[in-house]
Amino acid sequence: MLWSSGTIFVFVMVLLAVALRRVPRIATERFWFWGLGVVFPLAILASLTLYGLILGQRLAPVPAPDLVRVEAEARQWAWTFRYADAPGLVTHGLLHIPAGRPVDVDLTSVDVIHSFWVPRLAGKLDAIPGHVNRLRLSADQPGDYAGASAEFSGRGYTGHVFSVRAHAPADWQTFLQGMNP
Amino acid sequence: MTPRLGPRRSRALQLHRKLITVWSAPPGWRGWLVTTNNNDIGLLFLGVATAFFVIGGLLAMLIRIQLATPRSAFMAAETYSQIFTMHGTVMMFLFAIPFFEALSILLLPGMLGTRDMAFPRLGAFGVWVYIFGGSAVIVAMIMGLAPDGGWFMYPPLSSTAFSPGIGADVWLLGITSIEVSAIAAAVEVVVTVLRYRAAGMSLARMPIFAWYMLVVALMILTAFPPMILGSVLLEVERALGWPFYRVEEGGDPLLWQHLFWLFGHPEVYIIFLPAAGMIGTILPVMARTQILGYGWVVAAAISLAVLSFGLWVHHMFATGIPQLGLAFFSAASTLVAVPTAVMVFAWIGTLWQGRPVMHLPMLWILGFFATFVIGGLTGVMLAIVPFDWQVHDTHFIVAHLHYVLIGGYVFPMIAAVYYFLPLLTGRHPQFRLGRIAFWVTVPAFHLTFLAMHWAGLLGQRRRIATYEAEQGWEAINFSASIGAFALAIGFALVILDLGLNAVLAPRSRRNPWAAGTLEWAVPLPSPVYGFGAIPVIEGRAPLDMDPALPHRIARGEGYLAGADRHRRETLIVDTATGAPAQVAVLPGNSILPFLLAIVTSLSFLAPLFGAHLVSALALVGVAGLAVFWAWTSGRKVDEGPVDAGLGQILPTSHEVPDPPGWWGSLLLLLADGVHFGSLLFGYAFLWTIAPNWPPPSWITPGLVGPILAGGGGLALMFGPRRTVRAISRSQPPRTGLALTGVGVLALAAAAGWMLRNGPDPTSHAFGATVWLLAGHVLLHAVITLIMLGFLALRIWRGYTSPRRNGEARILQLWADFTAVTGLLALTAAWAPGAFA
Amino acid sequence: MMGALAVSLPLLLWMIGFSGIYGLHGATCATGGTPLSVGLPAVVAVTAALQIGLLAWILLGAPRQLPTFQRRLSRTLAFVASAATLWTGVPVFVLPLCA
Repeated sequence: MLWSSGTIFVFVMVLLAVALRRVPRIATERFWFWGLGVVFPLAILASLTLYGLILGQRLAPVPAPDLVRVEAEARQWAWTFRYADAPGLVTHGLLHIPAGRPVDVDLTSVDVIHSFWVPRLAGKLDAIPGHVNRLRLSADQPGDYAGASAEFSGRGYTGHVFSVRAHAPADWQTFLQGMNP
Repeated sequence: MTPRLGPRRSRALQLHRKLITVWSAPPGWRGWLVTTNNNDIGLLFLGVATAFFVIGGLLAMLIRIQLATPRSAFMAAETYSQIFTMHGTVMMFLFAIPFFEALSILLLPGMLGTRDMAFPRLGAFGVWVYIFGGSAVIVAMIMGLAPDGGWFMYPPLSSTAFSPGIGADVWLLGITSIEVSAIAAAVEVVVTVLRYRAAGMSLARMPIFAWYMLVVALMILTAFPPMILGSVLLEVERALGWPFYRVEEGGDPLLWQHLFWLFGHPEVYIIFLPAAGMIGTILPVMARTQILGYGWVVAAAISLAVLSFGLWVHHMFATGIPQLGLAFFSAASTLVAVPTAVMVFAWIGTLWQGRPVMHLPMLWILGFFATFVIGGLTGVMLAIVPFDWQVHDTHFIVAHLHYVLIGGYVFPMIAAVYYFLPLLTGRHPQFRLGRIAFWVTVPAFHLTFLAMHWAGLLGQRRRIATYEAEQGWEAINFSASIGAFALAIGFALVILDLGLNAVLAPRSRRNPWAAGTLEWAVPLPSPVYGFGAIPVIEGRAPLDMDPALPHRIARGEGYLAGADRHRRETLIVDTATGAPAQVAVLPGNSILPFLLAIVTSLSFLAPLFGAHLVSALALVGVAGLAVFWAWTSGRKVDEGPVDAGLGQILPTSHEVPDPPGWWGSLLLLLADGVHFGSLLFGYAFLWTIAPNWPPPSWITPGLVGPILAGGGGLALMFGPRRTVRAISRSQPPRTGLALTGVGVLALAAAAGWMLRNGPDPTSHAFGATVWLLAGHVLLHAVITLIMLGFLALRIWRGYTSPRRNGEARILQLWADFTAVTGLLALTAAWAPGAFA
Repeated sequence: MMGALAVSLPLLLWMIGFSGIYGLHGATCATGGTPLSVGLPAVVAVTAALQIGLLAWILLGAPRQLPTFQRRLSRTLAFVASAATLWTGVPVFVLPLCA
């Protein structure tokens, strides 16, 4: 996207530079409006929009056989995580997930609006009081991933961060049994 | 120079002397308080908006100091929140919107070939409200009472629970004043563009800027009301505890986001389109040609305006709306790129067919191209949902919006100020400093905001007060801060250069850029009355077709030469063809706008300090002054059609069925209707989307309420019509007036009856909505009642006649609106209970 | 009057259709998805049909006596509105309703 945008920018700037030479030329509506104004952007935008829709669909929290469900509850300025596979298990500021399996996070908030963002695992999604939003995470590799709240929430916003720990399958089982792997 | 005036020159001088006595404000500071002339209030408006730009810029510098180094201790998080909130608020509301309104008030009459805006006193009122409201916000900030929830003030963060101080109220009330002034200006602009033009200026011959401003003003009238509703709901929730945004009681914070962005996205185009109109005006002159594809550009502007109302959810891609819902907005968001591309290529094509000269305004327009195209392209990227999910609320967004707003708005506006400087000051800009300022500003801008894009892609969230050294953002942020300071120096040099040019540059000759449009047909600087006579034009570029036109205008060749009737007059034309239709009689100098602005602002601001009694008294003052204001226009005798010059006999605007006030009311009611529609939307939204619905109980309509409402509504529609007919036939209008009175009282009683056993407004959002719907009915009933009393008094005192029936027709318009929206409001409140 | 209608109706229809479809979709998903799930593509199709009818009216019908400029403007805007209706309506046929 960056490259194609760059190309379009250079193209427009070149057109502008040529137009600035003080040699009047004939400008036809057919070329400038139908060609450059309508057909050119429509062609690019149609493919781009379609690509976005398909990609968005691929990232959507659709049913999967090995799905893992967790809940994330935001408050000023902390995150609490609960696990469907281990009722009663609660963690604060650190979300545990299995690597290599799709994870759906159910997001909500008890006070103001927050946003759940782990840049390397998914896009961001808001945690809104009264609503539950579902976000699909997928970590290919075990490891720790940094996460942050990405909706301004007042005084403690800057430090409102958390992390996600993706476990290898065996470690995930250990974690669910309540032991720190 | 010895005066060796030929007979023609002396005729011009005679006309000038006559006109100047009629149109001038008194000298000295008193003149500024009473002036209503577009040249004066436009200049005042422009100056104040520039001052707010400087304040907003200083706030930006504080932000960049804070972010220049990691773990900055320059400001505490609390202070920093106030600073970035105020930077956004000041720039968006106190600078960007007022600045283009100021330019259009200054320039539109000249471009259209008329002498002033349609409602000079309304224009002055808008400016004063803006000055008082804006200053109050700045004073609050200096006292440390600024809002701190970000410029879009999402609840619940902005609700009393999480923002207990008066900061959020300052924001809400300050914004209200901007809304009032923006709507005043918008009503004025629409009526002026549609009716106040040179003879023969058909729609197809209108200057391109007038088209853009017509579109923008209509957008203001339809996009501001949702925002006004949103802020009313938030203020009512904060002040009275009505839970519109509180989830536990059936409210929903997402309602605010919908209402805010329903305004907020069109707002981006409301800001961009005036700049586009300026480019469309200046660029062809700089290229010594006509604009390529005038019709295409007009169609693109209209399309862009309407499509921009289908983008608001793209600010809410991360709020958990289903994919398909997002897809509609993603599609609409990419689609707006097409009319934008049409405009950009129209301009490049215009340069292509012309011979561009690199005057300073042209240089700034090139700065626009280099910047805005990047902003447009990143905008298309953001329309792609998965990409937005990553960069949303990071510095990438911040960088994008600055590319669009500074590149797409500030740079063209600087071009516009340079271009029109001769018109405003009579002097031609020519110092070298201007070019230096340009070459400092534009590269500094790109350094700052390219760096910021990068920081965003690396994950720097917007609005964080500090960051850690190990995050690797130091060099980027430091560069952005250096760039920002250079940028500030650049803008300071621009302002300095403009100031120096305004005072010291050599006198300009007439029409220095060799433009073809009418605003350059006047002597420089433009005299208060604009044109010695209203010209007759036969094309889009009248000065190209007839270089002698300015002299002919000055000699009084045209309509309404001079001021023979010793009052301010200008021409009203047929909207489509531009054929002369009426003679508008404009009000003279008046202290009323200033006084009304004082009491209006007082009614907004007093509640901040808990002075509710003062606020109530001020509201009474508003009503009283408004009635007095209306009373001072109009006439007691039929004047009959008057000589408009060139052998045309035309009625004055007092003696037509559709006086300017009727058109103004129609547009005000358009905005009012959108506001009411937004309220119904909010109701439906809460009902379907918000958790904790249905409410504990609905309300039952019973029989009394609906009968009162139905009967009242009918009487309210019938009464004013009967009144108009009676006045038109010189019959006594008693029955019509009485019927109207009965109707409005019955409708109000129905609303009151509904509240009698209505739900508690603080216990559930449904109850709050019912109260608000009833409040809508009661407010409009009061307004209709005041107008009815006013009309009765006017009839009694002899201000109406079969010719002078316009005021009764204005009442009819308001009564119809009150009846229709009143019945809708009550039906909406009763319906769920009736069917439950 | 005819001119004002011919210029403003097509895009207004787009705006009404767009917000109506979005509102309907939101309400459908909020209330569990079933009642209107078959209806949404139909609503889009009806809006598109209305839009094309309007286009036909503007191309062939009433506004013929308008001055050239208004006639061309209304035609262009009618094309824009039809294209916009199709463009923003397509997702209904491509994506699942409430995922």
